[in-house]
Amino acid sequence: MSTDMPDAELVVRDTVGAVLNTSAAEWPRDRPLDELPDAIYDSLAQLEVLTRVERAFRLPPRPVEPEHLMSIDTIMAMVAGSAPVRTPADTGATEGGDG
Amino acid sequence: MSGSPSRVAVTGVYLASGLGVGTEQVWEAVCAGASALGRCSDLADVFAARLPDAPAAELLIERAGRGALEHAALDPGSLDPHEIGIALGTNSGSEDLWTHYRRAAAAGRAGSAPAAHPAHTCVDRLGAALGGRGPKAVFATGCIASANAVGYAHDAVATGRATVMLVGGYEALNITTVATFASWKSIDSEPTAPYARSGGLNLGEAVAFLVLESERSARARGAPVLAYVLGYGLTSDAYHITAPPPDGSGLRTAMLGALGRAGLAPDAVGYVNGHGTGTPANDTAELNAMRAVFTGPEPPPMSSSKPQVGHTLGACGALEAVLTTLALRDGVLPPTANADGTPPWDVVPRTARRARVDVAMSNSIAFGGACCSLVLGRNGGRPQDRPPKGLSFTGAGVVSALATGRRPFLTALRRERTGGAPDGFRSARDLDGSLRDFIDPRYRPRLDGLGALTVAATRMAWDDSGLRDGTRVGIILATAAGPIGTVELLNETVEREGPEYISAVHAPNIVSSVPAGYATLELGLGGPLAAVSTGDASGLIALGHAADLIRQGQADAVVVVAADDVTDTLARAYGRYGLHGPGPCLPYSRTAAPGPVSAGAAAVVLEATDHARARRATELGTLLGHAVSSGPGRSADAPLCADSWSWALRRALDEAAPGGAGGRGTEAVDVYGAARGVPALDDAELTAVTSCLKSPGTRLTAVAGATGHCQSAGALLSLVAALDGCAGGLPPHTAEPPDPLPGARSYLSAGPTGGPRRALVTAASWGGTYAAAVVGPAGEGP
Repeated sequence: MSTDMPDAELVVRDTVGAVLNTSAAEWPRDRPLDELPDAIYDSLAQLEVLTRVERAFRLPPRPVEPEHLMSIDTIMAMVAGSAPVRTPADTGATEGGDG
Repeated sequence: MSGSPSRVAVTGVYLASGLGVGTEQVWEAVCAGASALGRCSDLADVFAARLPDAPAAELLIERAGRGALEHAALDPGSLDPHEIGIALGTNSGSEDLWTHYRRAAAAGRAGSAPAAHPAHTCVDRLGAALGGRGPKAVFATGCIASANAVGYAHDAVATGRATVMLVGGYEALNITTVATFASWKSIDSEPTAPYARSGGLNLGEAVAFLVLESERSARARGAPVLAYVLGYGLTSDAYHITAPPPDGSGLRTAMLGALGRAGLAPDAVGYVNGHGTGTPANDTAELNAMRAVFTGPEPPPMSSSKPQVGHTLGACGALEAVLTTLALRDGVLPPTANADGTPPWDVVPRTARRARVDVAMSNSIAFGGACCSLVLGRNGGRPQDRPPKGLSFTGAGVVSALATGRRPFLTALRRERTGGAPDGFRSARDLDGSLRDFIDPRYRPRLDGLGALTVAATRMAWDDSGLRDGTRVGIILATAAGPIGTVELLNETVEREGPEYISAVHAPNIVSSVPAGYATLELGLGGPLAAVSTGDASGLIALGHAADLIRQGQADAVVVVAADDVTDTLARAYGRYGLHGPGPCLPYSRTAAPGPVSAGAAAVVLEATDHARARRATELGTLLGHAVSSGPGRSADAPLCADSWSWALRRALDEAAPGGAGGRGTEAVDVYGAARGVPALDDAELTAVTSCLKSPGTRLTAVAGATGHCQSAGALLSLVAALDGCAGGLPPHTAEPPDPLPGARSYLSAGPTGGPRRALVTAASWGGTYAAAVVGPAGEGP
């Protein structure tokens, strides 16, 4: 199953923003997320981002690997490199969504 | 208090864990390398070690406490009741209270008879069963909770405040606890292997108790001494809210501090019972701390019992202190099961080892950055000298519905009159606008209501004190309800959405001491970190613990902060209990008039006077006397004991009297009471006050008349007002209620007098715990 990457990036940006209580909508893809102002992107925030991304894309649970969670780019690469990958829209209708 | 310090002996122990019920059964299984870990279908199928057929917490704790006393062959009836006290470490208190409150809130019906407020702590039943009336305290300092309790109990015996302290730890598991650890991906999918594979932890349940007794008492009754508690070290690492620094610096400081206070060098240590959870972060930090402390050619073996009994959270400090005691007694080092391969330290792999050891340590690390290290020995060593040390208050901070900040609060307090308190209830969210300036905006989204109140009040007190270097400054958080908002949020998330929806960022807030950890991160505090959760008396109990820590040299100053949030569930339950009503709060009224219940926080900086003067700090006042007592009331209708309360008042006044006991009674003091329009409480307090303070110049006041009931924060709000009163400020006026309790009128109507005075601040907890502190103007005291 393929991933619509523009949609996926929106989901990732929304997820990061929700966890850090700030907007990541315009944050440069390759810039480290721990440089976001007025936010703490530490191991707890990385855990939360990872868990939400796993849930959103129905990825199997994986350990926290900080290098995969550094930036929007690395998170997107992690999502694209994981299987199975489905967008929330793909899964929501048939399986009741993930809340 | 006796004149010379006492050696602190361990004369009895008790253990129950997944490995069995009874000390010797558990110890034999530990030494045999057995493990209680198994998959638990009711806990998301994780590996955990459950207590077999465990009854409710109160009963389990009563049995365990009695078991330890039996092992010590000690009949509590043979002692003066005031010489026997209890300390417990557990993180279950807030969940327990929330369960009660939710049930009461749901059952509330207008016009129906009030429900009985539950006891504040799960150790109150044990206290009542033993008839002990000495100090009582419950610690909720995450995974060092019961090690923290052992330190507190050690101080109580060493200073003569108690002859015997029954000290323990307790923890049980539920799906919410498992879900929080799962949210951090820290649960090992296999049996845990600390110091080896380090793939994560497994949880466990346990109850453990030790009898700490003055050596004099043990010798006098011919009791065998199993070991001695020689010292302890308590620190915070101010690094991260859930992970220790990789270099283990906080634990290293705790270990070196504990050894220093025991008068020992590292090379005296023959065995270390490690925290050894099996997470990579813990094992890395702990091993590096060991390398930093033990630099000699023969570093001591270290083992972890968690592959056998699981990580028992608040119980592990006491449980591991018992195992360390038994290792000293029997000359047997318990093993680290599952330590296959080539561990980076001698971790006593797989099976126990015979080795005569004279000195051993037990280490614990907690969320929020707290570390605790205990030193135990076969011999008593030298008792710790504790020369008199003046203690000054050098800063204060206030968050209340009345006003935020020390000076605005004092101004508003004098302006208010009984009946002026805000109606209804106020939560931390209602006060949020006044807190923003005192919390780093990066941390604010992570804090729950308790956290926001704690950090804001601590920041205010810190700024007020003028302190700049936090390296030797500690923090003790006092809270009655604990993180009740987070408890509710997480439990409801698990119920409605599922355990996998717990937020990794917010889950740490379920640990009571985590808000104090956030304060250490903001201010860079490296001194002792503790959390006291013993009901509304918690703030004053924490003050006494802080005084001990400073007198021992564990810190130059300690921020004592009391904070409590109010949720809708708590407010409705309080209404059902008759502790919250629509009208004004009228203290010392014959007719119930409890008024509002409100979120609030108050913090004070307690500092060694010589340290304060060396940095030319402004002193707000002096701590002159302090005491904690306990004792149940006669019935559910009269849950507090005026005699026990009176004893705490007398003891604090005696400690403050120029000539000690006997110098009391003639002096006029201002009494800042805990009365809040609840006749059962107000009447017990008034009886206690009038029994020991008969001077016509004694004035009685209760700030709840102006602030509403603020749970544990109430006593420290009183303390802030009292310090101002001691410096010549006018005490808040408590208007005489229309129908005052008998005997109240003369105390309430005593007129103002000029000049500095002393003040007595007091508080009580449902379940029978009482605390009192005497403060005076700056410049008094040793």
